[in-house]
Amino acid sequence: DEAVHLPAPPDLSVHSTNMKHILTWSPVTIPGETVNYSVEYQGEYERYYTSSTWIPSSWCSSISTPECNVTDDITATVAYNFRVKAILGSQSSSWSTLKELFNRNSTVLTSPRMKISKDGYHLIVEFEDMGPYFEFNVTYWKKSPNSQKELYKIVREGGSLVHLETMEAGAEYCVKAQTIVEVIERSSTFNQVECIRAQDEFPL
Amino acid sequence: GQEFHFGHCWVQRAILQDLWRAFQSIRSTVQALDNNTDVRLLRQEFLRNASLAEICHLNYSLLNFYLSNVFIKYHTKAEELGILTPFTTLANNFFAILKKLQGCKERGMFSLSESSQRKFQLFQQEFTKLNPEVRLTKALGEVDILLAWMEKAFR
Repeated sequence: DEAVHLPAPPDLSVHSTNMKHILTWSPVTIPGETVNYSVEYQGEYERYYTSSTWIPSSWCSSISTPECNVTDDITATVAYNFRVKAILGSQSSSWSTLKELFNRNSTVLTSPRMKISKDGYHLIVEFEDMGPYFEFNVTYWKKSPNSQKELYKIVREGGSLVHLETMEAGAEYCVKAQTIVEVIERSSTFNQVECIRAQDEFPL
Repeated sequence: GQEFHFGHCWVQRAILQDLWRAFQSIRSTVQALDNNTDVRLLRQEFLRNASLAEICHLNYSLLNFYLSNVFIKYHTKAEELGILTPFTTLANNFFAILKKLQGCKERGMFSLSESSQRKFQLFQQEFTKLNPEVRLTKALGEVDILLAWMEKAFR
């Protein structure tokens, strides 16, 4: 079959939020054909010591969508480069690479979703599971007209109920939290403060 | 988050956990290829009576050595053995730690001590005595000792 000119996939870029890294590019379209893509990556080590070495992406050796989850490929806080080529039958395009190298320390950190509840007089907090790198810095206090003493707790992982405090009867308690990602030495902004009131004392 | 004090410099504990996970997935493959179990390159006595600054410098020299003498020559073998992904995780995290320690060294946070230099030279001598393929496999198989030394500096 007649060779078709297969351009290199353009517009490569990485979009990263909460340590989930997605590589995207513009599709290569050949009327009536399905074009596949192959993705490879290179860390700063490879670029510095073995620059001709590229490593096949864990999940995107031959895919048909112009997008690849490269979270499992980026396993160090160094600058990574990616390259993508288009494949049509036995034909391959040249490689296209990132205009700017990507380091995971540039990921967008959103403030955590949080649920506070009470179990009797116990103040309970729960966070969504955001993955192995996420810890939660929780700040909480008892609302009172004069002083407001803030207390702190580090919650090591999301997806489970955590006891914060045993509340005084009838008192109102407020909580706010931020994520901490140690491997990139950064934290998110605090989320919206949420408050809850402890039940009054049981009548004797 | 918990910091991991590497002598006077610090490396995050979470990075060490990534390194252990990566090493665990190559351990059996690499250590099975090491038939010369009498020889140990990274010896426990290197750390005996060593100050934190000395440990820091010894690890700095070893990380530098691993990147420019071990990983660089084992890349093709790692591909053949099907362990390239954990291997590149180790290499890139070592690279990141070395860059950080480089900064500490330039800020004079750890000094070149005679005894840590002597220990590093002992390691190099032992390494060069072995034949090329054997020493690379042995050095890679001893990364757990290197990680344990990093962890020791944390306590």
